[in-house]
Amino acid sequence: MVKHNLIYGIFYGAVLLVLLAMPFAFGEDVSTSVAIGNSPPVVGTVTSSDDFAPPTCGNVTAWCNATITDANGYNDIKIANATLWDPASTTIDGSDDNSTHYVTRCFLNGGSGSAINANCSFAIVYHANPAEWTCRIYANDTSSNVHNNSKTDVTIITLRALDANNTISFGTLSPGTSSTADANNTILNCGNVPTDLNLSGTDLTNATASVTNISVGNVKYNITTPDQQYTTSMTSLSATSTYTNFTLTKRTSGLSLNNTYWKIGIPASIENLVFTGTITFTAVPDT
Amino acid sequence: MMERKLKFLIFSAVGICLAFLSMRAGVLAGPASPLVSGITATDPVNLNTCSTVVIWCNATINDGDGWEDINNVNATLWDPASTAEGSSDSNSNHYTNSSCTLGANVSFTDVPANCSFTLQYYANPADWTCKIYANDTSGNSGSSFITDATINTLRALDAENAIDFGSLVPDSTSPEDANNTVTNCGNVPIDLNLSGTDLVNASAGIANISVSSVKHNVTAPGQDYAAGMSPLSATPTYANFTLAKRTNGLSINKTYWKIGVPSVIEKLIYTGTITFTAVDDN
Repeated sequence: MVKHNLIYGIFYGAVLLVLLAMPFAFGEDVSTSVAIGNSPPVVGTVTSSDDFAPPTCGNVTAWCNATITDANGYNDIKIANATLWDPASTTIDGSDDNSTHYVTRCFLNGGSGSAINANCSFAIVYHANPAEWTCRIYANDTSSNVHNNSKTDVTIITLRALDANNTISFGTLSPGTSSTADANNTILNCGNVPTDLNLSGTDLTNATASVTNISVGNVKYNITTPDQQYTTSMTSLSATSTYTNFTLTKRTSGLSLNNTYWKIGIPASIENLVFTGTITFTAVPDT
Repeated sequence: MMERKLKFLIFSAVGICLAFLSMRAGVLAGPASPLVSGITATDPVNLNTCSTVVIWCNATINDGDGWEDINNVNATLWDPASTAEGSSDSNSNHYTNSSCTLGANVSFTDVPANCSFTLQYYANPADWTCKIYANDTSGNSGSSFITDATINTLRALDAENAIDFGSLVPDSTSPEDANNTVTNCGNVPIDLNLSGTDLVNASAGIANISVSSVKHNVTAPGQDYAAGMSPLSATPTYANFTLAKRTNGLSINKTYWKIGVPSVIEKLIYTGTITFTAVDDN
């Protein structure tokens, strides 16, 4: 026991001597700080749908996309908007009108690091101008810094299309007579340019008819003026597609539509049947 | 005749006794000089960084005329390697106490004297001498000393509490130095060991700032971040700073700091730590 105490005493004494012999040295911790300031967003190269046409009398989704980067991280990108406009007929600040100007809010997704994808889609209506449109994407960050980038060759191609009423019923007529009143068919411009018409047709037939059918030439039209004389002021339909100067304007605000006027002449000898045929309306360039 | 011899012997003896007593009485009446003995001192002395420490040099004072005859005790503490006892006071190498404190007497002739010194942090690291003087009312004095009052080496510094790099945008570096002034708080020249931590923000989702993006030049201001400065490390790294020991005014020098910010980083405030450690001057 005494021996142990002696050993401990020597040990602790030695430690104490070492500690006392050591020079005292002191350091100091200094706090460091840096505040990271704002870095504006950068809209990268804009890509888009191109050479697209809306469906006849319908809509098509077009898109402009870009990668937006912000050195403060993608979370600093607050919002992205896009404007698609036809610079030949309006300005970027114009109002939305379906024909020349669209604005949309972009969907931000796939963020990582400094970058996030902006997907900007537009529901393009069929009467949007056929032209080289410009798509510009704007990005705003949380500090209200804005940057944009554009693509100037977003092509909307020409859509020449129409919609006609599905049927023309000439009613009931006796042999050897012609229509006393016009049967109308309303044509709607379903494209993005003015149109004229090519018209053609078939004979009106009935499979059980044994005497005669009704020749396509008995169907007559006037595409501009109603109530015209069947024999003198109307044009006979043909099986061959025939141009007519209809000049149905492109839609701008309300629908663009016009009536066409039809009559039929019945042969002198014909059975008491229902005869049916077809008329084909084709939109052609307005001349 | 016999009677006369006897009288002579008696008178002679009385005379001798009177002469002895006279001599003895003369010795008792003379003033005694103070004696200083048993000096002890705080040893070793550990100084306080950029501050002071009170140390003691104590002794027992003896005066044969009684302890109350002691009217002053003073002491000098000096570094004999760099100055002399009679030199002026200097916080680096010479201190005096002109009026030591006397304690309660321990006998008719002995009294303890306690001599304190308030040492500055830059008192030389050395074996100092402490000499105590005692003076009595008769103008007599005595002294004694010890030569091995050791003051330890104090290697210490004080740096400013913060380095603020200000506001920087991503992918940039400090356009100007952020300075931090270092004070030698010890009694020897020092160099530096520098280390640090990343600058972080708990809500950062993309990046923090690596410790190595913090760079320093401990001697020259206005250096180029990329070419003229050294990156900080998490591991203490020696920097040749050579900050002299204080003699008169404070011994200070600036250090110069810049930071580089990653190319992608969120708008937050990032904080870290730099550790300055005093090391041997090489």
